[in-house]
Amino acid sequence: MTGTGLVRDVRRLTSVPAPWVLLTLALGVSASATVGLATVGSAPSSAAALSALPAACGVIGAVTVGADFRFGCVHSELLAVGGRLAYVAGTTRAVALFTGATGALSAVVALLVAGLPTAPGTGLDTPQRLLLAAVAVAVTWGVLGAAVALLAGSQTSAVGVLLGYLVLAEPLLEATSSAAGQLLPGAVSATVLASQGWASVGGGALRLVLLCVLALAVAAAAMFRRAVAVTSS
Amino acid sequence: MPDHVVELTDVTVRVGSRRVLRELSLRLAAGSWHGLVGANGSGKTTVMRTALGLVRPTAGTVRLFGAVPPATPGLVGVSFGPRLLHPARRVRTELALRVAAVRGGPGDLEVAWEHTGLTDRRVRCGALSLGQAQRLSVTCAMVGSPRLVVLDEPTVGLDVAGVDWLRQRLGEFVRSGGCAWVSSHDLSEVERAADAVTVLDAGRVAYAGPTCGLLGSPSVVRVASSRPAALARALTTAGLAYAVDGPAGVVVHGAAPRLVGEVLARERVPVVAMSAERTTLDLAMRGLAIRPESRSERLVEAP
Repeated sequence: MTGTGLVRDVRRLTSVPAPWVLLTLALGVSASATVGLATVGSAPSSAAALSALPAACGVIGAVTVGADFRFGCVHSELLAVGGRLAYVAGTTRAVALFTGATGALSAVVALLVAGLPTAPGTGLDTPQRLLLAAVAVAVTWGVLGAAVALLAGSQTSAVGVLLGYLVLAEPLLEATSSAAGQLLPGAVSATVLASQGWASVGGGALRLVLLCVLALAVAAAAMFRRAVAVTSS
Repeated sequence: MPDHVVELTDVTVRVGSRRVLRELSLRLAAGSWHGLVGANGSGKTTVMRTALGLVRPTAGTVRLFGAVPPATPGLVGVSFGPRLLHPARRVRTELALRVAAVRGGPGDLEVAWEHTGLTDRRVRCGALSLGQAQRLSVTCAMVGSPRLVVLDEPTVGLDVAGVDWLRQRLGEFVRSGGCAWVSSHDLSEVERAADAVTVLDAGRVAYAGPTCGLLGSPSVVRVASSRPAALARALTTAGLAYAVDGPAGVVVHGAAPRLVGEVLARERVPVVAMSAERTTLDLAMRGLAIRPESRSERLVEAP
């Protein structure tokens, strides 16, 4: 892994409009949710302010990596970087960087717009904790989105699976088993965003990192075995 | 450096239950322009993808620069078509990314940009015409100093000037010791430019060798008869390979016109028209594609 390679990977991701549109969406939701809560007289909430972060970052990962399959760029990219694992590593670290920045910016917006750290009952009393929580959640969902795209080999399927999981599958799983719910990425993310101390933020972030590693390992194994179609959807 | 840039030995590729490539062996040498031709579905793109490591063979061995693919970054440039670029990315950025991948400098980017023939630096890939996108795709494949360039149907969408440009670029590349591997349905272009050619037929190699070796094969004889079924019977009995050519005619491959004439005279087959033609790649391929099972008596006499 070289610095030149990292710059190229990030430029590759940021040279198309989709991730910027999704970043703007995440920031917009962060600002409007906090303002909305204040308008109706509710206490500011970090979980509500950053509620769009998992979906936005997941879709950033799925859309950007899935685009390589959708537009058939993946084969030339595999040859350019020298193999499948190098491709997985390069695209994932670029997604992680971009979504991490998205998380940090969303947290900053929430802090600036709603004054979250100074408001009583927000759960997070320091900006640093909110930043750490937002970055951890954003990176996790970005990497999960990228992993789903690598597994599906299709942009459309990856976005569909990701949003379907967030909106339908995880709430159902949580309702079925509360114990299992503690391990699901959506539930862990919500816990991290609403954490009240460094210990719980750190513990939740660790669980998110483990989820990322697991998802990446599965995606890399699938990518290593697959025949890469010249055209896909 | 190994003797062969690409070396496939007894490669079989299965997709589901279908064998797309069947015990296919192929070698490409450095400093050559190698054409790859065959009907749709004959396995041209699959053999290229297999050689590059994008598809894993079910059986057989693949070597790229003497090693298991993929090759070291920068050694191989590839274009699988003009539309396989991210449509929302600016052309200039696309080129810059390719240049960065081979660790090139700003000078390399300017050279590549000139090759695209484009003037608008802010244009996006999706806004290009088919020919412009094709030219960009080929330019991207040739950025840096690749030793193997794999181009799938590179003449699609190119105008006459574009084809000249492609011919010139690949010619320079081959003269510098590179290996150009080009699949195409433009047989006249392959015939004109390729040093060697591989003809694929249903996943098998029907011919692999110098282009002149294929074109130097025996001539092609067209025969029409008022009794086409008798014509077909006579040729089959004589063991001559033929393909149906219209309702009353056949094209006989690999036999001299005199031999065909003698066979038909001996069998008392009335001949309406008969002509001999110089072998072109198109005709040679048709001859190669004739397999015993396709040599059925499809010609019937009018009642």
